[in-house]
Amino acid sequence: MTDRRQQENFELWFKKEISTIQIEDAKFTTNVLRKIQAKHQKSMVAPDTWTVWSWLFCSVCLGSLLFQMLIQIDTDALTGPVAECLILLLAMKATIWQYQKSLLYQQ
Amino acid sequence: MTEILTPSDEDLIRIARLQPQSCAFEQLIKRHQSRLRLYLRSLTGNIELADELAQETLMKVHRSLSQFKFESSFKTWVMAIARNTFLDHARLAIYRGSDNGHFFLDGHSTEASLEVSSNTEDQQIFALDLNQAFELLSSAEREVIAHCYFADLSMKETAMILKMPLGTVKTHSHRALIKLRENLHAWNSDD
Repeated sequence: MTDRRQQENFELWFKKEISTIQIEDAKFTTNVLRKIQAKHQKSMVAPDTWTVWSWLFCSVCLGSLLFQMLIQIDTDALTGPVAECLILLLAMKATIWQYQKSLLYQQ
Repeated sequence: MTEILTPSDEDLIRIARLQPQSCAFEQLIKRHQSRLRLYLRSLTGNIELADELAQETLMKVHRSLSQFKFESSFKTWVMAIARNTFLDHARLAIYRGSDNGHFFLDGHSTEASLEVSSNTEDQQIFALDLNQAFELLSSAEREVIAHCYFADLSMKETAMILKMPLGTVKTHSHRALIKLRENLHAWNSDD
């Protein structure tokens, strides 16, 4: 038998031997599906880090705006942007609440 | 007589995309897990690590299923993701200093990395034999054999994944097969 023919035979034999090795178990499939499910559930509930930091950034911005508005209020006569301050205060409370909620989910 | 058609990989991908709760992805895992795990075992030389990487690969596949463009076969795509997952892991291990970079069979030469508990004794002996013969191959030759024979990809697909010219893949494969032929006891005893 020529060397080339022998090499071809070896290749066929090698392929056949490899194809007989079957690594299959239901446990592996179950594990993968379970991990996918867990990851999916986590992503459905927990916000990503970007969202958490965005809420914090919003709170800080609103806080800074509120501070600027507050110093414009005349405390004796109670004139100035009082209504705006109240709205900003509520908005800031809401963003802080969102930040805390997302932080809790992440933990 | 009714003919039961087995859905193709492409059909299963479409179903999995449209109905994520269906068992289509499970079918895909069942269909490809053996080759994937075998391929990663041939790259890592470690059963536990290979299975861990296989799980990570399949999770990545699931996550990016919507990005599959049907330009290559599903198997080629999965193996390419598996290779990247393996390379990421290898880089991280080298960075952490937990491995010297020679992943394949390094430190595992006396263990049967391709050992399969459910298989026959003959196959386990073959796996051990194969492991020892693999040690004599260069890293490029091992990679080509891992892709062409363990992952069952064509030379063209292997060239695409390894980003190598087709001629180089053929040369590595040819050289590796000669070395394996000379060193695989199972073949020599059959011969």
